[in-house]
Amino acid sequence: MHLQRQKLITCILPKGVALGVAARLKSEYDLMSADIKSARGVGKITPLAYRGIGGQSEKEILTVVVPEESADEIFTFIYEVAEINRPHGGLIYVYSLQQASRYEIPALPEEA
Amino acid sequence: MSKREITVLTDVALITCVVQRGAADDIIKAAQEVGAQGATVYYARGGGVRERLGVLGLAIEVEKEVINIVVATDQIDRIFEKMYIAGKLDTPGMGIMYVTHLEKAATYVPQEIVDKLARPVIGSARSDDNKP
Repeated sequence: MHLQRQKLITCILPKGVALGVAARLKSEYDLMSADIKSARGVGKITPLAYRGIGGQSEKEILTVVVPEESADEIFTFIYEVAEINRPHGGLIYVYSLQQASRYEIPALPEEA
Repeated sequence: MSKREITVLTDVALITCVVQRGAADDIIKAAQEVGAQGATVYYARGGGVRERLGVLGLAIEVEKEVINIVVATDQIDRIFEKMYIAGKLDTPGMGIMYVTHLEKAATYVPQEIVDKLARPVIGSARSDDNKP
């Protein structure tokens, strides 16, 4: 069993953003596995709260396991691609994993 | 691509709380009362002690809500305790919660707050102030 030091990057993003980020991770970093969960965000300050509608908004949680040596670079990449640096843009965080299996897909030709 | 600065938060932790469906809102409200800024909730399915409590496992909801709250490290104990009490997690089957230390986090931080944090505090004692 080949184990490699890895980190887990998690992003909480507005609805509709995560799939595009996962596609960019695949094309630019060859990361074949990313999970996207639907969630709701509860906060004191949300886009809808300004309009007096409520304090909740739809979110997506993107989680991706990345090699330790490229974690910082991918962290910055996601931060910029997902445009987190804007109001209600979301949140990104990273932590080390004690152990992780390696996810590899055999080299197969792309389907048309 | 233009070079942009990221304001990275380092002293942060993630509180994760798994409870029965419908219980999350009260727990989040309790966390917000003691300083949590927000929370993210998603749904899950869980089992375990459920199968051993009540007739046919009906006493405990199989559907769960998972609450994620990112907090500053100096707030962990206060928010954790408040959430624990609000969720009645000392009762078997009510749920579980744990803290994960994060290496770093980043989000939108308004420029005025970045400037405020970068400004030196007037009148603060520095360790080399008393040196001759």
